[in-house]
Amino acid sequence: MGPDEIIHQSLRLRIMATLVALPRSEAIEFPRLKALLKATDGNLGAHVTTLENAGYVAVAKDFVDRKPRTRISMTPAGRRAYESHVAYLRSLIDGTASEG
Amino acid sequence: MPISRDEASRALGEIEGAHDRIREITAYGYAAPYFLVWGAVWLIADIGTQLGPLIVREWLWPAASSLGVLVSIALSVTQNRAGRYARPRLGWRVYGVMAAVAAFCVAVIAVFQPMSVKQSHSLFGLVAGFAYLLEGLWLGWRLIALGVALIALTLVGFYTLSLFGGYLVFMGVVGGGALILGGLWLRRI
Repeated sequence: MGPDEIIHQSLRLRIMATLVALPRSEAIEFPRLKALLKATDGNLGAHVTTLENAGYVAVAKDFVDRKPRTRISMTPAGRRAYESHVAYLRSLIDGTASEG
Repeated sequence: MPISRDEASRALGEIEGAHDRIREITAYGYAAPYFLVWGAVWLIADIGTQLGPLIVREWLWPAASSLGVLVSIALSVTQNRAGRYARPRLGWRVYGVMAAVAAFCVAVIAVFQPMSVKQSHSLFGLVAGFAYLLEGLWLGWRLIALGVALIALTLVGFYTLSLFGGYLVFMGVVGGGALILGGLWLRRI
């Protein structure tokens, strides 16, 4: 068990923490996620793409009332990676894993 | 990638902050339909009691509040979907607070009777406002704002309107209306 470099970046960690707290398999719309995390469009978009490329989140785009909608959800692989990373962080605090 | 213990502690703090925010949003989402239901009950029952035919005045509040209880139970059954990180921490305590508030109102009316219609209606408005305010201390500031608004409007109605000068219509519109608007406000987040 070790740190996950992709998840550990601050905004990506908060994205994952938010997604994992949603009801299972539920997606969140991009503007709502942006508001929750107080992030900018560009910054959030870039980090979501990084997580998507890693297979940790799924991004679904469609149209509702002719308006584009982007929804983001956590994949099972993302959930496993997140939980493993959090377990590692906790083990550092508990002293059961070594720093560095 | 080396991670120090301080960095791990900060990261866990960020995670807890994100979970708290989702928990708050989820709690608002849970509470919103109850505000809409009880706002409608209050609005219809108070206005109907003041303006409706004599035959409905006696049973309108008991009938509307019984319906409200049934709808609330149905809502609570359908709301058990939240993820384990986001489930509001209060759970059954929310319903416990509501039941305690209702029992408190009944007990106060029993002790202080005879109460005027205005006094008993204002008591329910004030106590409901305080209940929202107290739950807001756990669930989020928007419930506190709604509680304070409800208390203030109840006092305004009590001191400025007579029973036959539209007091029940006022309480129905501002009390019930405040709850309905509050429910819509909570749902928008």
